[in-house]
Amino acid sequence: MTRGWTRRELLQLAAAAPALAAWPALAGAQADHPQPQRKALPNPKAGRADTLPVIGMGTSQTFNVGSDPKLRAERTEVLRAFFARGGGMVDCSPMYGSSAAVLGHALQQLDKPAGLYSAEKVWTDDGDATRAQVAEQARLWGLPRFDLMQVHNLRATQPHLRTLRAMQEAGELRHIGVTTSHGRRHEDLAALLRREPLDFVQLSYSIAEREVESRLLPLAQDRGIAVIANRPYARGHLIKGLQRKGAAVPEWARVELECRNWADFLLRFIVSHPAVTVAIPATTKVAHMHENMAAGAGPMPDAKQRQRMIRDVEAL
Amino acid sequence: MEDWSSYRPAHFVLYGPEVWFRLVERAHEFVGYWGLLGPLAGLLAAALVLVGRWRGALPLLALGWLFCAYGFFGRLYAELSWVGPWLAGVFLAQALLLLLALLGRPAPASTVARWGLRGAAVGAGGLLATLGFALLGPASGAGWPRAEVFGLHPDPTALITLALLPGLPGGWRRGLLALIPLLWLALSALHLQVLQAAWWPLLLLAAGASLLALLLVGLRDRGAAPR
Repeated sequence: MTRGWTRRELLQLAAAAPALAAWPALAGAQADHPQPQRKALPNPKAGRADTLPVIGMGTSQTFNVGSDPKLRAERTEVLRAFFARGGGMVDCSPMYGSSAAVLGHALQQLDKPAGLYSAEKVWTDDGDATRAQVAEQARLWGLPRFDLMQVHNLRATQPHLRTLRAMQEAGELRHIGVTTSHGRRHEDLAALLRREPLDFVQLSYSIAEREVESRLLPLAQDRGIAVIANRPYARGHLIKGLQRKGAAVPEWARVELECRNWADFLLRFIVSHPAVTVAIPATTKVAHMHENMAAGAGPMPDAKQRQRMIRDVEAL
Repeated sequence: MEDWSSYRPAHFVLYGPEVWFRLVERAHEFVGYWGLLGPLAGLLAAALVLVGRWRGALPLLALGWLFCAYGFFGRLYAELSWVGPWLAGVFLAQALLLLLALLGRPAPASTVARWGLRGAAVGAGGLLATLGFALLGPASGAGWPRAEVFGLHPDPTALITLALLPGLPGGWRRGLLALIPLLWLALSALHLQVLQAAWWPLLLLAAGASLLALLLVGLRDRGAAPR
C-alpha cells in the first residue's frame, strides 16, 4: 500500500538510479507500461493519504493449485507481472482452498513486494474463531498482519466484526469490511452498510451484473465506504461470451477511450464508477495480467460514455 | 438467509480444469512406473471374476479404492478442497464394503459369471473400463501422464468395480457394492461438466449401462433360483 515515501525508500531509489540509467532496456520497459490509476479511499485513516491502484487481483479459483510446483511457479509469474505493472491489492479467503498458501509461497519468491495491499477474509460460522483464522491466514501468507480483513459472505457477521474492530483499534489490522458475491444477500448488506462503520465493502459488479448500481453503490458512497468489485468478467463468462460472438470492441471506444481489447472496455467501465475503488480480476495467465493492469492506466469513461458502453454490450 | 437457489454446481468447484488434470498427472508422478500395477490389477480382477474366482477379485478392487482414498483424495485433492478428506472416507468405506462382501457362504455356480453372455459383458466392461478409459486422456492430445487408471484415479476405479459387479453372486452384495460407485460417477460427471471435459456424458452412460446390467442380472438370477 502506498503511503508516501519514507526516507529509507528515497535512499534506496537514489541508490538504484545509476543501475537504472545503465540499463536502458529496463527503464524503457517501465516507461512502455504506464501504471494503473490510483483512487483515494473515501474514509482515510488520520494522517494517511491512502490510495490504491484501481486494478487489484483476486485469487478465487486461480491460485488454488495445492503444492504442485509447476503451477505454483506459474502463479508466481502472474503475481510478479502484477507488481511489475504497479499492482496493489491482492484478495484471498480461507474458502479458496490452498490459495493463501500458494500466495505466501509466491510472495516469498518475490521477496515481499513493497506495493502489496493484503486483503483477506474470515470465513467461518464460529464467531469465536476470528482471531485464530486471521492468525492462520497471516501464517500462510507469511505476513505479520493484514491491511484489510473482511467478513466473507456475511457469515457470523456480528461476532466477527466485533473482534475485527477490536483488532483494528489495537493496530492489528488497518481496515475492515464485509463481502458478498453473485448478487446474494443484498438486503442484509444494505442494512449493514447503513448501520456499521466499515472501511470496505466487496460485491459483484460488472457491465453484466449492475444490480448494485441502484442502491448499494450510492449507499457505500454516502457512507464513505470503499468498494471492491469482484467478478468483473462474471467469472470469465462475460469476456469469453463476447469473444465467442466474435464481437469487436466498439470503434468509438477504441478512439475515445483507447480501448485495445475487451479487458480495457470492461474493467474501465467498472472502475470509472465514482463509488468503486478497485476491481479485482483473477487470472492464471501472465498475458491476461498485463491486459488487466493496462486497463487501469487508460482514459476512463464519463457518465455518458458509460451509458453508451452498456447499450453496446446489451446490443451484442 | 443464504439464497441457495442462486448456487450452481460451478460455485462449488474451487479450481480450474488445469488444476484438476494436473492432479491426474501428479498421481502418476508420485508412483512412477508402479502406476502400471493399477491397470494390471484391474485386468487381473476382471479375469478372476470371469473364471468364477470372484473372492480373489474383491481384495484387488478394495486395494484400488484404498489407494484412491489415501493417495488421490487424502494427499492430493485434500490440498484443494475441504471435501477431500470426506471423499477419502467414502472411498475407504467402499474398500471396506468390498472386503465385507467376502463374508458369507460361497455362491452357487449358476449365479456367478462364466464364459457366456454375462461373462462377455463383464469381460468387455472390464476391458473398456481398464484400458479404454485410460486412453481417453492421451487420445485428447494430453499425453500418457493424463491416462487415468484403476487404483490411481477415482473414475476408472469406480467404472471397473461396476463393470465386474454383474459377475458377482446375487443377493445383497451387488446392490451394496454398486451404491458408492454409481453415486461417484454421477458426481464426477457433474464435476467434469463444470470443468468442460468433453467426455463427461460417458460417465453417465457407463453408470446407466452398469445399472441396467445389474438389474437384468438380478432379474435373471431371481428367475433361475430354486423354488
